[in-house]
Amino acid sequence: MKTLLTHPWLNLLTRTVVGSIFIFSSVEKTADPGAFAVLLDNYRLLPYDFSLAVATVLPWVELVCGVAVLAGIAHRGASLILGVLTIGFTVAVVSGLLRGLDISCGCYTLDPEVGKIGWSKVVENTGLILLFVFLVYSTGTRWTFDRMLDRSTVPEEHIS
Amino acid sequence: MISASGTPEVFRSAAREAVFLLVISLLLGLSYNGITGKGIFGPQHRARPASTSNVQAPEIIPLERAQTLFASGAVFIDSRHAYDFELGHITGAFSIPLKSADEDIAALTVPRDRTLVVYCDGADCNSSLEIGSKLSLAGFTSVKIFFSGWQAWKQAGLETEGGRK
Repeated sequence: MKTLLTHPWLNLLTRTVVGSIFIFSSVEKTADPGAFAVLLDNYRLLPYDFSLAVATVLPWVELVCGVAVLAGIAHRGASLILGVLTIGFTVAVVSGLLRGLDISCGCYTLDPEVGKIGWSKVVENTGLILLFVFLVYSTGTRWTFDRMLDRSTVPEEHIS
Repeated sequence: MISASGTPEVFRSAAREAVFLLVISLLLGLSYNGITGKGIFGPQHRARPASTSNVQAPEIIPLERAQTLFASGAVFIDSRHAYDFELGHITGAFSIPLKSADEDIAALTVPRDRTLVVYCDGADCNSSLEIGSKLSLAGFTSVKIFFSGWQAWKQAGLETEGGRK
């Protein structure tokens, strides 16, 4: 376990994968928050105006945190945010599935025919959440901007 | 392993970074959308899309009513994915999946006053509502949503065609 948590290549690989996923999934949504709001509204969990407010800001949170994770700038905080968001997305998907909603996920694209919600999405999100937990605890931060700027976010002595 | 004293420090540090990143994201998101007039700053999205038009919302009908309309020759519209349509659909239905809805509706050679019954997979799917709204906006005056959809039709053993029976 200790080896995994301190492994710099594993940290870099994980950051590259999850950072790229969230940057990719945010780009289209930042460009068209109105369309994203309609997809959020399909979940029938929030009033439309609230969905629109979420759609205005959420893609930017994904983009900023995606870049932060990829570059290794404040990446533990970014992982914490993205992990909590992924838990929220998973709750919404499970709720939709339990209510029998036949809707598009709105996860990576605004195309309504791509990526319908399903239990595979729940499994996929669970995997992502585990990767974020890993990133919060990982000390293999050799290839991060934080380390280059000599700004270690967690004192090494706290990790035994 | 993470030591007992380390875990709270990891979270405190991550939480500080998280607050910083959230503020940055909020400022960027609000600035970009404020400048470009999108999202909550876009007048076109201030109201729910369907409520911006004067077109009456399509009526939602139960299975029995759908059967009656089927017998009277109403046009059925299948709003599911084309692949699902190929596997089986209500006899005589047209396939108008969301992906190609605008082109398919434009190409639909049905009189505008003919009764259209739109359905998707099950009781709570959304594509029938979306296609129904699009048909109403396109000028069709009698659009019904068969809400319990394909699953209810199939379970009732009613007339279908295509795919495996």
